[in-house]
Amino acid sequence: MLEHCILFAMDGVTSLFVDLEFLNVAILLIIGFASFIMIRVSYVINWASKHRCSTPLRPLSTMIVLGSGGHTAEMINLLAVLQMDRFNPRYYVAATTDNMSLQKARVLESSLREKDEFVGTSHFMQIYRSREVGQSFITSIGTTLIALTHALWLMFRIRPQVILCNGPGTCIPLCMIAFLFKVFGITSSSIFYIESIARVKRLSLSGLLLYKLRMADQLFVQWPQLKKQYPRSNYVGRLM
Amino acid sequence: MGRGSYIPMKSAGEDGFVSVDYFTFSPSIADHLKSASLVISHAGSGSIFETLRLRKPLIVVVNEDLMDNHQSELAEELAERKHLFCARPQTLFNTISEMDTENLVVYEPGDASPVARFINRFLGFST
Repeated sequence: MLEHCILFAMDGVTSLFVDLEFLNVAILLIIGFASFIMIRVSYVINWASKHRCSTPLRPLSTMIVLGSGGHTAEMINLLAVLQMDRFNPRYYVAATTDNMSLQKARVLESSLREKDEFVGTSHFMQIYRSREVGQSFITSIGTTLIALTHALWLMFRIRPQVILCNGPGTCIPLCMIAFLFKVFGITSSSIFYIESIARVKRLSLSGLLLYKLRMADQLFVQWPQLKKQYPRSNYVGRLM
Repeated sequence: MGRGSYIPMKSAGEDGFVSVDYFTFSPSIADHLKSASLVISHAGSGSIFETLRLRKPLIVVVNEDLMDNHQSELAEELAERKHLFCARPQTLFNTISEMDTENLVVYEPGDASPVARFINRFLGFST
């Protein structure tokens, strides 16, 4: 009887050992995966945002995220001086609640075509916003999830090589997904964020997020005061 | 007007009164701006730069009720550089009676080509 008990106990101990071993392997795997992600993230932040040395021979597919009102006006000013044949095809994205921005982009695109230069193709699409002004916190959880899924779907379809954005929040889900795509090696897009001219003393929430989390490859500011406060940003003068 | 309850009275400007007209929305206010000799505006960057480009004297009235009041940043910076006058609802009358538009400095429009050059260089395109 006693012998049996000991045997049973031994059985329990070995199964405990097997369990422990399994647990160890799982923990090791998790640690390994986590450190892989950490290394990837720091690689993406430190190396991928350095200057590209090789000259791109082909045009780069570009996603242009249009904010609204003043933000869109600033973006259009930038697009007006970019060599559009290099940024091709272009995917314009604006919030579903913003009727004017895509219209302005269409006007710009048709004026480019009238000039008779080769400018390539352009596409126009809308994206759900995570939160509208005045929306309650509870419902905004749901809408944020919808917005993120939609952004993920758009990014998977387009996989842009360049992302141009200048706030407000519409660009954040897209930039986050683009950053994750870089970490997992799906697509490597260069993210450029231009802070609005309306920001003189402090970055906007979107700008601050992209700056602090180092998600933007390059962040531009339009006032020298901001460059002093955020040394990793680039002061490029006024766009307006 | 807008979300407020005040409705201005239209006036043709007879008998020495100031002529008053108003509208709630217009797709473009460019013609109105061009015909103005003084513009009083909110602090939105669109209105500010549209007016400055036309080289019209401008008073920006900052709405202090806005929650995230970063809009005053731009107006104050441009007022410091003497491109416009910056007022609050309470000080607008003072600003109008004391201002001297001769003191304003013409705003030279910005240039997006430095950003464009930077982006091109970063991506490896020749500039």
